[in-house]
Amino acid sequence: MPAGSSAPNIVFVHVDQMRHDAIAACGNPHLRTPNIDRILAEGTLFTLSHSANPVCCPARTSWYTGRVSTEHGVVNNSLPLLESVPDLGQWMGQRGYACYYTGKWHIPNRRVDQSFTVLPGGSGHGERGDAGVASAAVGFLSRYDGNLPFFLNVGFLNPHDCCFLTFAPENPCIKFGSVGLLRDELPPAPGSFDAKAGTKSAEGGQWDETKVRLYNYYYYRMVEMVDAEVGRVYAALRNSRHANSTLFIFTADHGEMGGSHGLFKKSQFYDPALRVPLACVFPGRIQAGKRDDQHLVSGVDIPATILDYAGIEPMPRMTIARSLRPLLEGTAVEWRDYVVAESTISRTPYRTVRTRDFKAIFYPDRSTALYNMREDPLEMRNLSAHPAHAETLRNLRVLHNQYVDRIVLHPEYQSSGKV
Amino acid sequence: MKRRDFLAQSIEATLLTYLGGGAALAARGRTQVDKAAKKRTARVAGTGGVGIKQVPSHVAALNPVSAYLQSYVPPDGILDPTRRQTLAFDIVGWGTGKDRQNVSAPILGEVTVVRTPSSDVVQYEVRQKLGKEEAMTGRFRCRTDRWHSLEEWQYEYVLSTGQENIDRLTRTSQSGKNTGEQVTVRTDGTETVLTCPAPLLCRYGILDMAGRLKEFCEAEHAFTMLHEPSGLRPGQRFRQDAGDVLPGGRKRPIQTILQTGPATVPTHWIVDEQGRPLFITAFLISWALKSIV
Repeated sequence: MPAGSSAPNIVFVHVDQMRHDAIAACGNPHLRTPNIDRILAEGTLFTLSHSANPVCCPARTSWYTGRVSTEHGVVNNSLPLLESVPDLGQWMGQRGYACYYTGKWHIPNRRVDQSFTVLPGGSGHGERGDAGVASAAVGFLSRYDGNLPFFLNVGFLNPHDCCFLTFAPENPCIKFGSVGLLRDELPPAPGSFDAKAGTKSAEGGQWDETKVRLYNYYYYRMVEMVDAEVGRVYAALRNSRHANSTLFIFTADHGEMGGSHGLFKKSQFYDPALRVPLACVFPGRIQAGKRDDQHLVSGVDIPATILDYAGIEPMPRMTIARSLRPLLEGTAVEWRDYVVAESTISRTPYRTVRTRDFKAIFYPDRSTALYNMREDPLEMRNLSAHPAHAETLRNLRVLHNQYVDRIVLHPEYQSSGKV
Repeated sequence: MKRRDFLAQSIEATLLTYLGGGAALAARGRTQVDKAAKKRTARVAGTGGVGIKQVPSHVAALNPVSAYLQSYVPPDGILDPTRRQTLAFDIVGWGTGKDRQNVSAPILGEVTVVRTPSSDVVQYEVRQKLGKEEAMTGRFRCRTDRWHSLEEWQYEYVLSTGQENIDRLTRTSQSGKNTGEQVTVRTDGTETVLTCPAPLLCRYGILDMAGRLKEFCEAEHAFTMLHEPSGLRPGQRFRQDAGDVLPGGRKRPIQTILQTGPATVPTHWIVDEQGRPLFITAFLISWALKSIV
């Protein structure tokens, strides 16, 4: 159905690699995020929001196709999206929306200009390009005077730049020699980091506790940098004539390990990489200042929400995605009691199943992990071999297989089915 | 030897000494560096140099520009705060190849700052070009007080695509005025009034106080920084990163002042004995002073 004259505008702002807890308003004392704090105060935050697949391309492809990664086929950063799969830009553009994009896209085999009118901005680095992305969005929001409702997408890079801190084995771009001056301000190493053993990054560098703390110091500064740019876009929207007719969504593609469990960056099912912030604002329609810590949601729910508010039918094969609208507007609804995320090891997909209390991981080699998320939020004790939890693991396996029954596997991943 | 040649060579020697492979590089002598300088001049903005294995330098402040320093020649000019002068900086990137092992330092763009002093203010006319599409032109007026605090500014930020219908949408402009107690910022027609209890600085005003940044390296000397086009960054401070004396008793010829604060990755102002800000190094983006005219 085409968008009607009362169809809202939609602004979808996403950042790259932001942990769910890297927000001052969520109690993190190691950084200042006044702009994201404002978004949370004026909207609803989902505290149990999960990346559909904690890697850039798969997560982003899920945002824009409404499919999980073993459905759309982009299970890692190098595999292509099939040309036949529609994306949000194409779908909404054909149904009465003016669709614009600035900043990071990163969906393999799908040029952004095939789906959106592309605004300038973005460079591959947050420190260099995010200000330009925000400037393009700010200019657009103050000047757009078209007749159609707009769907503006704003893709920031930071805090993804933290990846570069591990590049080159000696980590030469990190100013480790200045750490003495910063010692009193460094955040603590993550609780799951083994300070005695230290760790080695994938690029070969050795990381001790002080270095991991400095890594996180840099990371938080990058979150603050992108907070400022997100704030410019949000303020421009609030100051524009579109303020009360626009749904604003803020999220991240995946989180950042930051030394948790001796790991950096993403790809993991541990919470620091898997959980992401997700907040929505729509004055008068979405509850302001609400923290939803009950409902398990996924990045794949975002396109379903956008289409619901736009009054447009879902794209084909949105098997798992559900609109967050009833949760945002306080309407009674029966919600899922588990959420699944996918990732790959050596191009082989595997999955995690998360309920409110437990998280199970079903590895490609058929091994498993099980964590009690209420009693062990750092995910330090794998309970999968514990007889007392055998039934829990069995139940989570059943949920995994229910999920597989619901999705439509991409031809390449027919073997990535039940466990 | 002319004074300016002596100055350039001594600074260069100092910089090279501080680098990881400094001694070996210095031993190659001036001829080698001249060749490198010619190569640098020939480099096109936005392209990278050859990737090199890089280790952290002895001075952490120089880490982000270590690869660039292989061919860096400090400018000849002397900073004279009483005259109208033009300072030009390379905008230097930091990156690695796909192997994530070898480092390169591409020149991404250029900043030109024309400073015009008068009895009570200094005006800075700034042109910044970053990559092919991003340009900023602005005027920043600073007081001649101790901090060179920012009094007024206006700039236009353009992301050019060559398509008029798009460029019209994405152009942004901002002006601002700082009375000392409150700051009024007007962005694309929307006015915001902020209180600003700490001195408000901009990068260009700091260029003129670079030689005495050490005076501000106390915890109580917090300041707010205009970081255009991103906005105001409150809670900033300077700290002296290295002592004045080198091991062996010789006076250190370069000051490294660390700027920290919210939304600021550790950023160094690297200033020579003449008070010239040779480098402002952050993380993936740094500035390198290449000429003073």
